[in-house]
Amino acid sequence: MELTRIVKGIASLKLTVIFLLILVILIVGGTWDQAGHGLYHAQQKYFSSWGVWLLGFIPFPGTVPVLFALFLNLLASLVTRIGFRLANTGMMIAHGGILILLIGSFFTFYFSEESAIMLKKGESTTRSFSRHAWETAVWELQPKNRSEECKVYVVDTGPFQPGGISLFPDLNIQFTINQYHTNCTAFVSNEPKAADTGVCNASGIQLLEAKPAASEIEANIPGGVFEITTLSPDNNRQTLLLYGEDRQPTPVTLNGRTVYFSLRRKEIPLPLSMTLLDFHMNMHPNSSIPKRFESRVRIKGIDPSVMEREAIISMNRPLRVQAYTFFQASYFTTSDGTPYTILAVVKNSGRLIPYVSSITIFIGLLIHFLIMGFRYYQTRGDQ
Amino acid sequence: MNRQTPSIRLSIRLLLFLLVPGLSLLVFMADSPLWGRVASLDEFAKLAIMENGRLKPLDTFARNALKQISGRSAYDGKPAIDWLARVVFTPRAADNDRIFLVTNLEVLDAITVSHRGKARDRFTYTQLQAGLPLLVACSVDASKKNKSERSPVEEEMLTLYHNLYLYRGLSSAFDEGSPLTILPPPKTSADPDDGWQNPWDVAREWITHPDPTRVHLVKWVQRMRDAYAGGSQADFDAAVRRFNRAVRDHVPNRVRPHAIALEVWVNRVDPFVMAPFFYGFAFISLLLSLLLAPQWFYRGSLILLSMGAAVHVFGEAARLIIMQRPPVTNLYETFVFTALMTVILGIILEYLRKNGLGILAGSLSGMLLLLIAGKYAGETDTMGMLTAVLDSNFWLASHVISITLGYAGMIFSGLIGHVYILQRLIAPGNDRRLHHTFRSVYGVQAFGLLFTFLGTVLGGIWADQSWGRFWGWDPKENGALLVLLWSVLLFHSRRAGWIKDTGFALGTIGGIIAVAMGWFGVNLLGIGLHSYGFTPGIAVPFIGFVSLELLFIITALIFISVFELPQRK
Repeated sequence: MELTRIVKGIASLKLTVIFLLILVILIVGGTWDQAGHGLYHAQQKYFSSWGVWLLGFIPFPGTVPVLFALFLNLLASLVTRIGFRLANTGMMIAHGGILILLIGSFFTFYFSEESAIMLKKGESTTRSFSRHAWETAVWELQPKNRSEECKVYVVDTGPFQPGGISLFPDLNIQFTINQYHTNCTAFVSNEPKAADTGVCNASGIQLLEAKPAASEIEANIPGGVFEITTLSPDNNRQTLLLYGEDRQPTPVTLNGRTVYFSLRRKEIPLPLSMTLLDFHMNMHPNSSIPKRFESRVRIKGIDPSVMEREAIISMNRPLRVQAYTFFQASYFTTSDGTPYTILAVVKNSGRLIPYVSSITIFIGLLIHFLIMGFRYYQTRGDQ
Repeated sequence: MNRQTPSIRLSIRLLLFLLVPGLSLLVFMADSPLWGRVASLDEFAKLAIMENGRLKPLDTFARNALKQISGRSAYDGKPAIDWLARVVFTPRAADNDRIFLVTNLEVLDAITVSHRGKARDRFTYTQLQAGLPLLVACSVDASKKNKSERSPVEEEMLTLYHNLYLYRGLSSAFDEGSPLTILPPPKTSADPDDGWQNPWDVAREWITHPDPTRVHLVKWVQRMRDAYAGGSQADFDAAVRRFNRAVRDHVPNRVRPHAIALEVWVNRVDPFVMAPFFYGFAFISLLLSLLLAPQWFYRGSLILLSMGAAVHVFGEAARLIIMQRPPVTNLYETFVFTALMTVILGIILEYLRKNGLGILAGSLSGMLLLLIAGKYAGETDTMGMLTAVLDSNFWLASHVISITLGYAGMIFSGLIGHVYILQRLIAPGNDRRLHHTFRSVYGVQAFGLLFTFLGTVLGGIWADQSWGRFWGWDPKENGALLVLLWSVLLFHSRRAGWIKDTGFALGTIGGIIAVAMGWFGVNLLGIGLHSYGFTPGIAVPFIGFVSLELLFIITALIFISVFELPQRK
């Protein structure tokens, strides 16, 4: 009895209105915030968060708890309030569709992964790179080329905080974070290796200066200063500086062993190897308006279920392989005129959920309004 | 070598052919105020020119160029094509035309050009020429800054600089860098996206890449110029026709003569300028029906509204034929299309109710939205080419049409919402009338919700197909979601008992604000992937509109609560 009362309370339509109003406020606030802080930050602050300080001092729920609350409210409503009657058919279908949409949103929010590939003609890759996540890679031997395999240890930089420690027992080293900036400027020394100053960096960088996060998340270049200590009793140590735009990994020699460190965009393994066979970019005549980008690629499955074949990826015509979708996102040309294609890669197993839910909602709304219209004209006819 | 000698000779002859008569003509014209001019440019207007990826009639090119420079599509009472012919064929004579619009006196002071002290005035090329070195220096400095960092004076300087540059290019049509790209690429060109060229470039290219297939094209241009300067209408028309035919033969599948002719005709008729007049008269006729001869004026208003809709539909159909794509690709076109949808909704509502409400809301929304569209038409081609990602007829037809239908429903519902509130304030006891008006508000709001939802979802699917995500919290996406949530909020609030009919009607007025924010208000932020919508200079009118609507809502609330007007039972 008590449970029924609670469920009925959760199903309150007044609660629905309150949650919808909060969503409206969050959308206005989040959109306004994008102008000043960029899409990614506003998204993190308003749409991917559990709470937000409105105007800097008013505590307010974020979009995540509001959507959870709406989900529970809707579920409870379907169980208790919106009873099944013929007249309610459309409403039930539409609200059922919204439930599926919310489930799909949570699925995408927690399990989808976005990354990118950049290739020039003839180049191949088996990995894509995150647009905003970075990692520190550590290995003992520097590979001479891509095909040579060596064991690479990676640490996600997401939780990096000064004083944080990572252990690499196989390499016999401890990695301590002295400072870490998610976006910073690097200052280069005249001494390329700067071994005498005690700070190792392959590019000769001696100093990092933190700067505010860029409005476009891709533009953030992180950097940090770390202390590398051997785990053996001799406790040898070196100070290491890593920067996101280092052109080569930094070697650190301890007890006669050379270990390489690199701060790089997070690499995501793909179930296939992709080779760019050709890239075309056309402009509309007498204009600088892009008309068509097109990459012709050959894919070969690392996973045996992926068939080896050629494929064309162009605007509005992505390539789908398993849960991965490859989109023609952009291109750029280097100073020597070499064109690179940029393909966005999205891994999302729940990609079809929004399609199913949207169709369901639309059909539900259509039935509901048709029933209402029919009833209204019937009543008018009676009058 | 032997094969090239005649080519080089011919090229020199061609260059002389263009230069010598051209220069002598200029000298002649500079001294003579009575230069020759043909009376009709109808054939000339139909010549095809390639500009920004689109083959368009010279008539459209001339209108856009003149609008960009002077803010008008006619000069001295004559169509833009007359002005263009004058600039192209007799350039020095046009140097003293007052065409350069300057709206900031500080610009003229900065480049030391004397003026009459009028805040908005037009100047001649000769007047501005003296300040050109200073203008170039200031424009170079201004161009180094981001758009958001530039002052209004710097923006205006850049505009003036670009306008002078355009004019210089047009008046040097037979010189390097001219934008008069009316000559198709060589027949040997395999790429259909190769650029078109001006007569000078073709003649110059002859030296290195002899192309006998285009010699006659240059010759016909030359004949045009001579005939124009000589004032021979027959020779001019003959040269234009021969040139036009030669171009079509040269690139048989590129030029669509019927589409070109249709566009010239549409330019002349201007259906989206004509339709608001019909809507305006329909509105006036409806008001008159309240005062005198109700039936007569009521029928008149319905006929006028239908005539406006017919002209409107013709304009949309013409754009569809010309561009071979749904006419909803930029903000201007969405205004025009939404206006048509509100008018059609009005006609349907009038057919169902026959109480004048449909005519009132349809004529008002049609007229106002087309007037706003006119502001958005600006100085550029409203039928511009689409970037790669937008170039999808299926998604344009499905997503944009659905969302504009949804917005049309919301606006229409909000307009009837105004009527409901006014009825409630003026005659609160007339339950029957209030009931009928409310049903219309409610029904059209439901229509708006259905199509806004469909459009938003289709937009999500398009984004998923193009960018790899169904939803990305982009400002334009958020705008559509805001409209959708607002409408959902209204229906749920009414069902929860928190608002009644009056609250719902006031909410639909709030819905118009939500539509304005989602549709073009988010463009003020200048961010996001939907860059086609960025438009400068709309902040003040937008804020003014929102303030007025809020004032209406607050005033209505105060009146209703202070005078305790009875709620409909």
